[in-house]
Amino acid sequence: MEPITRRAALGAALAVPAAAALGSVARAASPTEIDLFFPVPVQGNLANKMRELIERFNTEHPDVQVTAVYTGSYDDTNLKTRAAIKAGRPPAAVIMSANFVREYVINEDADPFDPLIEHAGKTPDTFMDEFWPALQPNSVIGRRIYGVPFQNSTPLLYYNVSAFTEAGLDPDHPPANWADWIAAGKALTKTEGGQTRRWGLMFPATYDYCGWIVSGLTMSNGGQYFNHDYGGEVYYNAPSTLGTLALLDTMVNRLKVVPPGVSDANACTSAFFAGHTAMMVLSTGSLSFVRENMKLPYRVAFMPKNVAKRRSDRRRVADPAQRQFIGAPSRRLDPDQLVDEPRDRRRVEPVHRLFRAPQGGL
Amino acid sequence: MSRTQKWRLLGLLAASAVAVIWVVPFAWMAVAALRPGIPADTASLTPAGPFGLRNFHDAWQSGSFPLWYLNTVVVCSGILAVQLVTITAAGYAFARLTFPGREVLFALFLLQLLLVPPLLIVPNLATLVSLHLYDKLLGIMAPYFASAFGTFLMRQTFRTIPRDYEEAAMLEGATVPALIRHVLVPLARPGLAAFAIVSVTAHWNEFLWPLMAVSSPSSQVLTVGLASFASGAEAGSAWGVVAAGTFLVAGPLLLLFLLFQRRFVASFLFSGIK
Repeated sequence: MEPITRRAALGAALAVPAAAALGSVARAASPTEIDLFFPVPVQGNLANKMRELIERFNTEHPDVQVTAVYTGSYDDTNLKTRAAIKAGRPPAAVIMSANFVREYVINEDADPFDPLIEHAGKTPDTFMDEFWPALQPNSVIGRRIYGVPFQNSTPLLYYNVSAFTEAGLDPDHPPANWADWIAAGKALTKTEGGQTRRWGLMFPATYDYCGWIVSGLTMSNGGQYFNHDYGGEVYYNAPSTLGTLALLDTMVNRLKVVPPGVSDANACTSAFFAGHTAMMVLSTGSLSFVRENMKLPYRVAFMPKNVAKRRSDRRRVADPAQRQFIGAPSRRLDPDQLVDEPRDRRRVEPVHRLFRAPQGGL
Repeated sequence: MSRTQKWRLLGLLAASAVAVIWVVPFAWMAVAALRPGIPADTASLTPAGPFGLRNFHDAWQSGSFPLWYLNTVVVCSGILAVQLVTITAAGYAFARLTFPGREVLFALFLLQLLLVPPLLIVPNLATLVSLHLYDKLLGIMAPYFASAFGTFLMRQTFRTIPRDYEEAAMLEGATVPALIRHVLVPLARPGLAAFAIVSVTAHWNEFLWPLMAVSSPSSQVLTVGLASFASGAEAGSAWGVVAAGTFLVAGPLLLLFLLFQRRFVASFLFSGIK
């Protein structure tokens, strides 16, 4: 499976003391009232859907009254949560980008979920086992669970089927490794009188997209972008990161199959819908939006990986499970299948266990 | 063509250029709002079509606009009503009363203008919580009840009014409140109108503070509501729906401006705000 990186929205239990105090006072007479903050990271009327879910929860649990509070973008949600904590009105739970969780843990503003999980009769381990292993590092900090994986998004390769056919590529076999990817990019780029009519590939670089995609590509290059166990250590000059940058440099500057400069997500989807780019790397969170608006035939695939590099990595060859992973054919994803997420999580290889940075840190 | 005529023409051309630049985003918003789906030539100002009102329907369905309108109107008019009283009183004090430390106090008052509003989010929220105004519409309004800008504007406006009027009224036996109400306020009306426009526009468009101060969906204002379906971070925007939603939010202000255009321009010319 692919680099699953953060970009997940995680529920973090915040400042439970305040919420608990409220609970014990209010329990006797009226239901416990708590706030849930949530951003709208994906397109669509998700805000309405969230409200429906919360209403259902409230009718099914008469002793708890949850108010779902829409809190804007990822950053606005972070801002609002900090301000509410400082003002003494912390929400009981927040859905926010996993990027921010460590900050709350360091500031001791978040409480771990572990006591709640044990209260529900599970151990933290059995609880985390309910999730794909690749999603777990986002949630666990210092062996405690500070987040529950929710709405995790991963980078996907979206590609235009007609453009593939036109360029003589097989849409049933999207590029599975970096060499194929570069070749496909070259074949798919169309220039006319010095002007590019169709780009081979586009990906967004605004907000944290560039870091997110570089992080994913670094994982598919056999490395890690940052230390999962010790926040703050970023492997900018590790060979796996430099390899990723070399790939981007090749595609943008040398071969010119990716437009130069910083594109935002809107520009990428607009270009993809209009056939102005044959491939794009974008979040799984965009899949519904693409499905609703893309009129040309398209498919999605995993991000191509750099197989050659992976084989040469001594650390991983020792692991028999991993050899299997390298040998596994890259499968084409059916967009419809992906939206109704298959329940069989065996499909997903435990990437982080294979390629994790050496243990240590905290 | 005489020299003055030439300059006039040049001025007209420059003004037209600025007007065109200013109007392009509005024109595009209007065009985009009327085009359903995501057309391939989405950036075009003169597309072939098809056109329709579907986007407005979708935007309207995406949230509770009637409630958001109501809350926004309550917030804007509530702020303005209190501000008009406080800035008139404070402006009068700084313009006409003599008391020790007046200039220093006025300078301190103006210092407020130098503070970036986000700096005060946390202290203001803490105050709201202790006053039990957190998550209430009144909480959105409270920090704006006193306006440094408004006080400054009214002070300047009052100072342009000759003292003769007040002296005449005082000879007739008018008290200070009566003086303010019957002499100064009517004469300062263009200044108050200019301030009202600035205040209403600012609070109508404000996003961050209402987002911070209010949590319940029942106290949501327009800007926060619009963002709830317009700012999907991980997908392309449905431009048509966003444009239609923006129209719904900005519409009332645009309409007011068109209706009272002459008066607005006159007020601004009078008060010197540009």
